[in-house]
Amino acid sequence: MKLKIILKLIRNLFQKPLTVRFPHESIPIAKGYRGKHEHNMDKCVSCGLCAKICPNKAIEMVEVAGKKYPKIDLSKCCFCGLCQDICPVKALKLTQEIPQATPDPSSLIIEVDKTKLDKNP
Amino acid sequence: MSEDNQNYQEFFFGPAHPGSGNFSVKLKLEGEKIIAAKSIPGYLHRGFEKLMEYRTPMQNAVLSDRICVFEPLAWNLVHANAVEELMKIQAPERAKHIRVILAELSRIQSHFIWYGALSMALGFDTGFKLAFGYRDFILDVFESITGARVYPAGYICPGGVRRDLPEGVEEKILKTLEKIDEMRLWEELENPTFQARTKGVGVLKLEDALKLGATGPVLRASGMKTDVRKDDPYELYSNLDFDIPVEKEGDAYARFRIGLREIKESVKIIRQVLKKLPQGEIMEPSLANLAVPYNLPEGEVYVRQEAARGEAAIYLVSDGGIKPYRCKVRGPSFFHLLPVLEHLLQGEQIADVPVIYWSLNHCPADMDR
Amino acid sequence: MENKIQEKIYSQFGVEAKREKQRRMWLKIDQERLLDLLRFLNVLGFEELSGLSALDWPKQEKMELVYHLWSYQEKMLLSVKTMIARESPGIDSVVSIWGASAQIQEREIHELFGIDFPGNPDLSELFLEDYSGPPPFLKDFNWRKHYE
Repeated sequence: MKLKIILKLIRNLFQKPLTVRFPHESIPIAKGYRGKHEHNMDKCVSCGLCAKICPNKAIEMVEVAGKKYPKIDLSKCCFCGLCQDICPVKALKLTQEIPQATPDPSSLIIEVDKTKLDKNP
Repeated sequence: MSEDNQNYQEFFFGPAHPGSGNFSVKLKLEGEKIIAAKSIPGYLHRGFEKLMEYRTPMQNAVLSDRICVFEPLAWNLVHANAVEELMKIQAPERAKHIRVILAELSRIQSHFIWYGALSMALGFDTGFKLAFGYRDFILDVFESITGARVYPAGYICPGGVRRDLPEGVEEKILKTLEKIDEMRLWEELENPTFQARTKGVGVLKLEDALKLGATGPVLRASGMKTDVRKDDPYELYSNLDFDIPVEKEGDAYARFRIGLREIKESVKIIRQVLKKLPQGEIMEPSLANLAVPYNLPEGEVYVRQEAARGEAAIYLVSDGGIKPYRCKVRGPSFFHLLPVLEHLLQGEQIADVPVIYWSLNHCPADMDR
Repeated sequence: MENKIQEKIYSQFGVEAKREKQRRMWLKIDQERLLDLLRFLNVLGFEELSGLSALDWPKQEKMELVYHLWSYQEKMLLSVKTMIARESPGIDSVVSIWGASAQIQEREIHELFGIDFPGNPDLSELFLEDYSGPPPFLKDFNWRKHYE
């Protein structure tokens, strides 16, 4: 058995390391990873089901230009994906983008952009 | 010499100590020998049993993976089984096979943490790096199936599983099993320092173990051949072929050997289940629509399962509404950290405290809930 | 196997244990005969006190205690339920039968529900530090008001 270990040690000596230099290269993230939300406001029907099922009450329905849209607070979210599963028109999706730590709390709120809405009165 | 003349020192082995985790122990010392020990729990008390009374079963499934930090998939399975037994339904066959594969992989990665932490407590750095390095391959499998490396957010939910397996994951699981066998090859090489520091330390006899409430690997290392997967089977375990390892001495070295042998048995189980994975649906149709909350019928149920640390159980009571009336959680570490540790530490040397502490394979989150 | 145990309990105490399914039985008894029944069951082979739960029924003005007992030889779980009064609740401790595993569970229930167990050597606080309010797991504990 000791011989097997020595052969393995010699083989390991000539392999390249498993680590990568992180900010310059990164390992691939799996498809289906639960990251930040992405909301398609054209498809949204304002049913409010995502706000009802959230276990931490992180989603609130706010009114923008006469219609209700979800406003998501990422500091309360646990990234479970129940809001994505329940949406009947598939308007809310979780992307592969990993939420980073930030000193600015207002960047953690995902809400509908008013300027993009004004194009369609 | 009367007792008043002797000098006792109080020593606080606390939560900020590099070898201790979220738990502390107050030791009364005379020189280097421990006279008495008192455990101080409560650093992670979040009040789970009350939190679960305000949420529906699907939301509770997301909450149930934070009961224990090291094995969230096992607690997901306990909660899902409790709700399914109360509603008298069964999950489809494909979902049961996926659940057993994930539960056994979760047991293996929890034992890797056990081995790594025990090595770290002794100062054996090579063992620590090997264990946590090989554990990463298992976490990659979890990421491609459930969506995240550690917390699966209720992947095993009442009624089945939330998503189907992606393409090509079965080859990935088989490659991971080969890596696990490679890891066991390194562990078979016994380090003489490791053996000298763990043999004969922290001996737990069988009669004491039963009175103090020990279950799981700690009880099996003291000589009792019992396992909830064989005595009280659930899911697919009554049709599977595996062994129960038992040791007789009851010291820290015996517990370490049981951990290694259990990894071998889990790999055997995963290979059997992967061969007969059927096609089909993954979620029971009457519970598949998330938008309509379902009523839990009136009744009560007590579900026992074998987590990596011991016997995990949930007692669920419902009075007919959509939220449970009472959900009591029985964690295995509650018994291992409070009575068993205080009993084992009496009369030992202070240099043996990390070894005894980490050889019990505990999780402070399981104890406090 | 379950029938034998059902007969033995019935002949000694006159209460019937209901079999729910394989390896699960439930039994209700009044508070006065509870200790004798538990001692009898311990001798019959129920060595492990797997769980001790407390429930709060404010509408019926009672609290309920459930003792879940597991037997390694017979491979069976028997749950014993009993009701106690809700005003200054208390019941005799079972430390004399099951040792330290019973003592620690009674200590937790004393802190969270307020039930007293005379006979238990140590009922000091376990999880909550410097807390002096009502027991937090009761149904009428309004946690929002407590923190204002």
